[in-house]
Amino acid sequence: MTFRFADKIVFGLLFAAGFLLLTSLVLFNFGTTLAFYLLSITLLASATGVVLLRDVIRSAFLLALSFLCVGGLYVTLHADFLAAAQILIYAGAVSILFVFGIMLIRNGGKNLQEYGADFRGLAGIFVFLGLFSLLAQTVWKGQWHLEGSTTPADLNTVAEIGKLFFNQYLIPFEIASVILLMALVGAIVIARKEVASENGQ
Amino acid sequence: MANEILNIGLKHYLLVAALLFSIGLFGLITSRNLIKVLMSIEFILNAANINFVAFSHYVTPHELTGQVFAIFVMTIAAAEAGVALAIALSIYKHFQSVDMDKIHLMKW
Amino acid sequence: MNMPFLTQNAWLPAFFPLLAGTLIFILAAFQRKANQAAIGISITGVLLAFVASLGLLGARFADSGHALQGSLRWLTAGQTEIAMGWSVDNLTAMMLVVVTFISLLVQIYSAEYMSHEEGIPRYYGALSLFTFSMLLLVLADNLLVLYMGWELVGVCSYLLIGFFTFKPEAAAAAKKAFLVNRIGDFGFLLGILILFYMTGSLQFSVVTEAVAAGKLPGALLALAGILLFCGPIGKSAQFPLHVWLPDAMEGPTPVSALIHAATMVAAGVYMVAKLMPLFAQATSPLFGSFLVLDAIAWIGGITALLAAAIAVTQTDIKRVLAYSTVSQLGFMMMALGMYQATTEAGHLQIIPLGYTAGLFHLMTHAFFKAMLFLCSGSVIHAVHSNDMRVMGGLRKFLPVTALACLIGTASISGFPFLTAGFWSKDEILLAMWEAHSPLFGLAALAAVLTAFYMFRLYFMTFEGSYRGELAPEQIHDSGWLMKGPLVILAIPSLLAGFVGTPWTPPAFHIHSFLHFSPVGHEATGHAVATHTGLNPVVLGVSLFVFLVGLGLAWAMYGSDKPALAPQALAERFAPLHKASLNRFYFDELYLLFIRWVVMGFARISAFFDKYILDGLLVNGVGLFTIGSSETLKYLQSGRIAYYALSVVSILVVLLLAFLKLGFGKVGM
Repeated sequence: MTFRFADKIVFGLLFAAGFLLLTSLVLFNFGTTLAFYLLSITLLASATGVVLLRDVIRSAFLLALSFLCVGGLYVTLHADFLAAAQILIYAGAVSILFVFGIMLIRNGGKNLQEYGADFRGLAGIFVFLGLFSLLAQTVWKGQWHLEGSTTPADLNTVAEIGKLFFNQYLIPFEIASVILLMALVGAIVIARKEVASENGQ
Repeated sequence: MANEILNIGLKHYLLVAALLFSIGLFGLITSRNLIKVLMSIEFILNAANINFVAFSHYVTPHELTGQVFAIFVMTIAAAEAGVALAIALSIYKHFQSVDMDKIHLMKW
Repeated sequence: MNMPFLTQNAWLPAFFPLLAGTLIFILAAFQRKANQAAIGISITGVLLAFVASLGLLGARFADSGHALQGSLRWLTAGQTEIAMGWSVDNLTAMMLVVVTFISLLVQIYSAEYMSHEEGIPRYYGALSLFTFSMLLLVLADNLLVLYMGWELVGVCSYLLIGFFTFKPEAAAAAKKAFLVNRIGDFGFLLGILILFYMTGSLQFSVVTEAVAAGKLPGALLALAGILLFCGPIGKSAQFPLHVWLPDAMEGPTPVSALIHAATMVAAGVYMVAKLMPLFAQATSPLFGSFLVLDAIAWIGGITALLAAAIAVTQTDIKRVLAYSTVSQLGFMMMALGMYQATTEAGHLQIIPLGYTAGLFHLMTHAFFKAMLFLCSGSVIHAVHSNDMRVMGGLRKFLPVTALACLIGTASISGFPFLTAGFWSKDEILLAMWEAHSPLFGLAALAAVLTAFYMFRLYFMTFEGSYRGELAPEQIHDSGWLMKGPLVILAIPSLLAGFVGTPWTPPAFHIHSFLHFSPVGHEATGHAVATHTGLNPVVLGVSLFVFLVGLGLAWAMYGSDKPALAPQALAERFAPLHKASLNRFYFDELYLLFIRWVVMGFARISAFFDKYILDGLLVNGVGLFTIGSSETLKYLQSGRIAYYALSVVSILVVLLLAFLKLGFGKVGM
């Protein structure tokens, strides 16, 4: 089974899932359960696609799709502000960033033969299975102390988050803004054409 | 059993996050394209975010501390993505390729 | 003489020479020409010590009760306390007088003998320190101070033998003396340690009482005894460690007189006598029925005969005297080893028979041997050579010396009745006869040889005609600083024997003064009459021995045309003669031992150290590190993906392992 075939399978699944999602949300009122399952399956499928696909630009688009799904999951968790932020930042900015990056690289590394059954690939699969089984066991068998109640639906998340930001987490908030500034400046410095040093000093 | 499947609880979200994390890790290790590696890193960060929000929803419903952390993570991830891509472009300029297997200057 | 002061501070005789020696060394450090001052200070010191010793001897005569004792606390370690203590009993008093007397005479003699040499302050400083060390040894009341004095005399001997720094043979001889002594001292120290460990104390009295109370099992006591005896084997030049004494003759003659005739070598005999209560209780045999005392006697006997056999062929005048000293020391040890064993209440009781005889001979030997050495010094000074083959007929040039030498020779050979040596040797033979010892014949043979080689020495040096190359005017007699001590020493060489005749009143008899008392009593001196007259057998043997020796020597060396030609005799007994001339090859044997055994060990150790410890362990570790790191460096491939892979996979493995092993139960 080559991965070209896998391409088609994945795409097919995605289309189906997306279709089902939209229709179910519109037509039925199954609530969170269905939403959750559809969103998570889409998410996992597109994540697999990102990792396995040979064409990096297709991976980029699937990345955007997975971000959207994550945003949807946030909605089911009653984190509305976070969902909006996720879509804005990740699907809106980070994905575009990746697309731009791929664009600036000629060929975008399109023709890179990803892997055969080489050592790294097999090792990666083993790591994947090992780690997942570990985490799954921990999750499934753990005794989580749940309060029983969940977030009230009418909670004003923006206000609450805002309250937390400006009371307890003020300093991390400020530091985060500084980090953003640093990243901005840093990215520019790293990526610009360094004329002086390229002249061979 | 059916109850477990139908009633979505904390465990389901955590499981999804775990799976997403593992996929991201797999991509991180096995990808030959540098950009793919960066994308896998975003998956890892997102998985963590899902964990945070799920915990916030189920364990501390009245405090949104988990969501606050998720916002921080998003911020940092965005910044990191920018800088990482800048570095990737730099590498491309130097090596004329983004093949991970060709970048091994720091070897013995 | 302020007697109470003296008796309470019986350490004074040792203090004066110490002070003198220290002053001399300090003086010499600051002043270049300090000869006169050094001589003066040294002689003053030893003179004061002599006077004090006489005083102490008188005190002992007056009151032969408890020993004079005192001590200074020195070290305390937990329960054990080690003190610097002194104790003056009769034996100590006698030794004090002998040592200081001879030291004084030797120092006076050296003033003229060494007048042409360099480094006089060093010489006198060492002589004074030697005197101090010997007196310290003699005054000791515990084994530690004894050992200290023991080692110190060894050091001073080293300094004095190697005095002529321009002579490499002297340096070699000094080293040899010290090293051979050290071998003996090692055994000595082991013996001391055994005693200390078992009895918890080093004091003579405490140790003897503890041994009598049975704190030491018999076999261990025998072992300690023989180990302790190793010290005298080294110090008193017994077989097999006798090799250093003849070589020590490289030192100046007065030094030989003092140290290697009269005092230091006598320290071994002194120590055996002092520890006799211990040896007398060593009733467990070393093997068979051979007790420690038997070992002492046999070693003494072998030494006596061996040294006498070597002395008959030597041509260096000092060497003959050196071997003679070794032989006489053997006699003393033989005497000390004589005992009578009775079985009382199931166990063996030992009564030492030759205790007094050995010490008597020690005293007389000190006098006449010192005199003989000083005579030889006088001869060497006159003729500028040690070799007897180029001497002869020196009686007309050195009359006083010749007479003194004749007296000394007569004494050592046992000229009947009139000489000190006769009486002391007679005592030894008597003790051996009473003990029914098989060594009696051996002693008699050694005595014959003694008489023979001593008279040989006298005849070759002073009789006949001069065989050397110097003109008669060049042979000059010595001054009175050298002749005086000779004359002074001649007196006790003749008269000292009279304290031990059967006709001496008991109050003055040496047996009363120095007799062995078993444990529980100190060396007290109540009148003990042990003689009822002369033993005819022993007397006969003594006379016979003397006449045979004298006769043979006269026949072979008495005149220029000998009746019995020495050459012919040497050829007839060629192998024996050759062995004797080569000192029975002992030095060669030791050299072989050193080359094969000691150096063999050294080579093995060196190999082990160089190739195994250094090569395998040290360098090996280093090479292993380098090798492994050279191999491991290939892990750093520079590919980040592989790094990530290794990090994550090991993380997973570790997590699995921890979960399996139970670290961190996540709510399971």
